[in-house]
Amino acid sequence: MNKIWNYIKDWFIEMGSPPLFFKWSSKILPWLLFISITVFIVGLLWGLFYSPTDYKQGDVYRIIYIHVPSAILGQSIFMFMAICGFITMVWRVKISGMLLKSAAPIGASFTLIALLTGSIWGKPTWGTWWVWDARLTSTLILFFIYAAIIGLHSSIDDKTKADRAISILSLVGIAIIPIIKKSVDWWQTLHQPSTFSLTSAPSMTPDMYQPLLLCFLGFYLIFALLLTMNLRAEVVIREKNRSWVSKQFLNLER
Amino acid sequence: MIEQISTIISMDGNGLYVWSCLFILFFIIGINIYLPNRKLNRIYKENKTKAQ
Amino acid sequence: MKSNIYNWFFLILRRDLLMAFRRSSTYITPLIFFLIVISFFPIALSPDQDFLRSLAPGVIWIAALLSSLLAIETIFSEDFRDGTLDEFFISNDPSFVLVFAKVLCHWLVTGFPILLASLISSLILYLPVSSLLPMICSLILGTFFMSLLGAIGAALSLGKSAILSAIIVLPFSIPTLLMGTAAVSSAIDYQDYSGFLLIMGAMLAIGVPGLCLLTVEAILLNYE
Repeated sequence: MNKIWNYIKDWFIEMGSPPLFFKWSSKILPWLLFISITVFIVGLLWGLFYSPTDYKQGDVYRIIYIHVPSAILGQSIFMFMAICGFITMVWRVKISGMLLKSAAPIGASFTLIALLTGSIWGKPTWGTWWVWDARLTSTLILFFIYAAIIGLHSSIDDKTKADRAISILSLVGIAIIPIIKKSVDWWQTLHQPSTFSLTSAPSMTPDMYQPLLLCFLGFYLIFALLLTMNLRAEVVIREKNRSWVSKQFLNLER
Repeated sequence: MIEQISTIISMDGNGLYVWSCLFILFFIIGINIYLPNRKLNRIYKENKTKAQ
Repeated sequence: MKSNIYNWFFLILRRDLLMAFRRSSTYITPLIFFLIVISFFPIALSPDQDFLRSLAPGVIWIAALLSSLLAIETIFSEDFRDGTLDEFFISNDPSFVLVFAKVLCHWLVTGFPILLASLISSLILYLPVSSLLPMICSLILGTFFMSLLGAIGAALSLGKSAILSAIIVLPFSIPTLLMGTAAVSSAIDYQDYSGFLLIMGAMLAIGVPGLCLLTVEAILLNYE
């Protein structure tokens, strides 16, 4: 058992060594680009044009195909970052720190998309751009935490040190985000009885539900694509004085 | 045909909201695709000039 | 071995407290800051009694959070600059204890004066007497948790600007803020507030070991 575990660990560390990672990611990048953009566009087209109109909200509900996947992605990217942070802290794997660093701006972007589209959705349905609803509030705080992580990383010059610093912060974050979510819920019940909820739309029919699932898949694939691109840039920047960069990178690219 | 397209675009007067959401989505994803590629390009050029 | 740890703990606590009390600004500044922030709210918003009473829990809590973070970056930075922190980490004694002693000292120096000041501000903001007990209890638990969180922010931004540690720490302080204000405002409405205090206590119980260990890791980053 221990042998298998060590084997798996070694394999990951080997695959994560910067030159090797750059090599195999160059191979899969075109495929990832093609598949992710196809699924993304097909899911959005299906949701925005072919799914039936909601009888209560009209066509505005179609924002759900953008809003909900990006909100879920914003949270799951944080989970991913916490896992990377744990690996960085315990095993000091170099690549997981870089993964953590390159996932942070993507997570912040998707959380920002969720906030902006949510507020645009709120205008026709609730009448205001912003409501201090439990979910909106906790998403806003999630965005602030992403901003704190990005700010901390950019303030430390030594990048491997910065990676470990944000891995500590992401571990604190993953412990405290569930508490924030729960406490915001309680705060809601204390201050105002549930007035709005995003799920007030009638239970979804399959033909609204299927494009949403495809959108989820498309958004996750787009995340994988963006993460690979960011990580490649990060790896090359960190190792720009190494010989493999001038050898492989210049031959592989363009 | 043109009427059909315009009904799809307007979406019962809600089109502005949906299309602006789509615009935001593509804009932010576009930034995320552009920035790492710009970094890669810069290092590529640096190394090119160093090699020459 | 056991007595060693206690000796070590009390030695550091005593040293830090002595150093704090020799310079009166360390415990006076947060106190004055707290009172100034509190007095700005009636001036800026409205001196109306009922209005201020409904606002009071939030105002007191925001002022307490800000003033407990006011001097947080000094918790490690001076020892870091003059090399005392190096000596602590070189010695064989557990650094976990060191961090906990420093946090406790910071709380005694800033959190405790804030507790006293909150009693005065409850008069200014017309808080009913029935809500004093939950206010004090929640402030004890909450400001201690804030000192713990502030320690990790200070350790991560050692040698950087002070505003960075505030930006790191403030988003994480939301649950404390929510629970604290909820406890006080439910006491104003004569409702049961014990649940909020219990949650804050639970957060503190998890926070003491967890955050102290992560703070040790964060300080060690500066010695590589």
